[in-house]
Amino acid sequence: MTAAGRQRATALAASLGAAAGGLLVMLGVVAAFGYDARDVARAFGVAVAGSWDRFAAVLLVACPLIVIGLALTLAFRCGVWNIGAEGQYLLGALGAAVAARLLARGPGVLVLSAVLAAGLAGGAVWAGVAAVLKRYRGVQEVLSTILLNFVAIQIAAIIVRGWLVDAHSADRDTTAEISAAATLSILYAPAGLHAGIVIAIGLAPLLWVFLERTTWGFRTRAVGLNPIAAGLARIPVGRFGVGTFVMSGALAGLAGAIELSGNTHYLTASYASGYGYTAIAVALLARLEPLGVIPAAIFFAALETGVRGLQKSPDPALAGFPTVLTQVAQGVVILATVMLTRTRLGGAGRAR
Amino acid sequence: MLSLSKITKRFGSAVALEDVSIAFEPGSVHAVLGENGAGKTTLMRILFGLLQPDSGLITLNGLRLELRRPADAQRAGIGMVHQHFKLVEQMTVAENIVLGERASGRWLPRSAVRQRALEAARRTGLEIEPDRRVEELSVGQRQRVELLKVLQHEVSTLILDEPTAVLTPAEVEQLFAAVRALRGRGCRIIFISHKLAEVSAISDVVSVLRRGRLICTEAIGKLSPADLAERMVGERLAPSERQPGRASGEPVLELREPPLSVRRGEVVAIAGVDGNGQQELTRAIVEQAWPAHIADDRQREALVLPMNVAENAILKRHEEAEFSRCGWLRRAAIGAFAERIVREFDVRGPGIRSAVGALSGGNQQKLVVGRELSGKPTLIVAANPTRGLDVAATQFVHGRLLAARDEGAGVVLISADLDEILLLADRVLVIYAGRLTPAPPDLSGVFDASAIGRMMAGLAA
Repeated sequence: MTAAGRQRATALAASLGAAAGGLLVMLGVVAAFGYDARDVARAFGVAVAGSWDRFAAVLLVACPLIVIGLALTLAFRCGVWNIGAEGQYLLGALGAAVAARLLARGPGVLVLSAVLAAGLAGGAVWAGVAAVLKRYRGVQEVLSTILLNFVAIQIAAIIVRGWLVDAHSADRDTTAEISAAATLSILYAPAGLHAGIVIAIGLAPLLWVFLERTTWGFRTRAVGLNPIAAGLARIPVGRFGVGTFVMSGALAGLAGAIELSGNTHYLTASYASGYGYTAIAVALLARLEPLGVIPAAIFFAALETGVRGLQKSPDPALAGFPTVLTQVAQGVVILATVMLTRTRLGGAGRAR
Repeated sequence: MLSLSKITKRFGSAVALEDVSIAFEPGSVHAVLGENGAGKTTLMRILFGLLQPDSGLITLNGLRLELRRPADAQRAGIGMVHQHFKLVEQMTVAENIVLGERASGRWLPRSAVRQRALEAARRTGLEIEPDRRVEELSVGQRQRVELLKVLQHEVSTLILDEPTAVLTPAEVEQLFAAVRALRGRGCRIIFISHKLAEVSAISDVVSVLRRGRLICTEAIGKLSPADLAERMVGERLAPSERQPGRASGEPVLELREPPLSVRRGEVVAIAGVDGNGQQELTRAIVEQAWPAHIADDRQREALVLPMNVAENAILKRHEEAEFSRCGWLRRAAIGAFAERIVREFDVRGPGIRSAVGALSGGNQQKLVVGRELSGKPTLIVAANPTRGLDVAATQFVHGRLLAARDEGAGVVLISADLDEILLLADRVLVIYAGRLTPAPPDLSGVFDASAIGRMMAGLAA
């Protein structure tokens, strides 16, 4: 095996080990809570892969995680620590809702394209704020993006309650459903799985091609791994930082638009989902490899779906099962990923 | 008597110290003098327990010392003031002095902290202002705090690592007064420096290191700074086979500040001890001319270690039509180019698709040299291009630089290694405190090494 191949194999083993470790620790915690771990494991397995319907439901959750995971992979590969995917996702959804409302009538393809483009734009603008703050005021993006998440939540709530509100809704805090022309088609009705999953899965190899085969991707990686050497090679490091940041935000926004258009069909004043945070774990577990994002997203989607399934399980022994265990597992997986291998997180340049 | 005998230390294949024996007497200031890379700092790190020698003995008053960690050295009464201060800027002077001491109880009241600091100051005769924050202090005052931190213990041996590098002349005087007072109390002071005038002024005995070997240990009384320079730099004869360049008169670099012009076909060497403005000079040249650049710190400035050999080979040229078309990388051409560099410049490693970080330092440097020289550059800036390389790799890099010169490139060689400069240079300028001064012209085609050495140390030629 070549050295590079060996490196890839170790990385894969580390990710698998982290995922398995997360599951095991979750089961251990479950046992400590007084549940029978074997029952839980069986019920969990049924909930995520017991039937095509169940697996399609996992894919439905994986869809936004894949797209946002790719957005973050792009940013992290350029050394941009975008923690604000949640806000970018939200403003993408908001942009999409606005476009859907303005273009209620029109040829389907055009409306749908406009809705998705508005999602890209919404996320791009929001990431752009943090990018400009970083470039011109030196504000660390780890801080600004996470704070902008809260601002985004409020902006979305104000607009949903105000301009976009559906006057017929009970609490006046949801929008009307988007028109049929603005929705993504459903691929598998029993689980509500929509065409967004095709877009999501298709984006992964596209991002890989971008990073590995184009000059832009080459520069993006060089800037992320050693900005000093990249600058001395006359790559405009600052501009790449801003550009990649905005592209990352646009992708996260696209995830919001896809979710609105394919799954929820309307916004609520409290639309924030936490996908933007879970996707950080997705990107890390995937070790910033675009193709790894798909299985990593499915893994985290299965965790979430599985625990929700446990709660609804007819087995009386599992009644009142705590959802917080998803977060325990998530935390363990992230820690294990970072521990088992030195990720590139924060390791731009070299350790000396 | 603190004695080092037959100390040898290697890093990989590079020998940092070979068979060095020095005895340090109490009540005297003993200078250890040498150029950058001569082994001074390695020797002191061994003496302070930060490094272990591969072979050799350290004895104190006839008893063998095992120095595995700094705590061992401290127990033996050895204290060290590092070149780079280790202070907490946001804390007060008194807090910094007490920092790291075992507290006598669970609580450490401010008054007790202050008291202990003042007590230490009184005992050592070093004046301090205990309540000021370190961030408000001048460099000289900070150094005094460092000194006090060390001297509050019973210290019989004090190591000062390049203590004057960052001080103003007045601060240097104050430091020297403190050093003399310590000597008067029987302390043994080891003074590491490459500044000849200061070594003459403060020390009683001097040991000179060159390339990891001890050249001599002598009483300072008989030695002038010029004598010291000669010992530090050595008797060097430029090799007779050196082929002078044929400067063609056509300039490839005209720098205004500092003034520097380089013509095709010549190697202009900038000699100087590190930290005299070389970095600024390099940046000025790079930003004006974007030359082929063999960077001083290859891992930081030249290579992207996690990227593979092929990607690093085209780092600076990836936009050229040969390697990219309409935004797409041309993988076959890139691979062929990388293979060519690897072959021509003898870069040994696991292949062009493996990370550059997996190559040895010498092979990384050969890759950088290969990449930079592959484009037939007209101007080359090489900063310490052979630092850390073994003999074979050094000769290889030298050969390539001379070959590039003979093909018509103008070469700026910035180096702290006088041997390298004498070997390659067609003209020599000395950089000291940011200023460039031409070295005296040679009559017989051989540069006057001791004159250059004196200029590097800030003395008149």
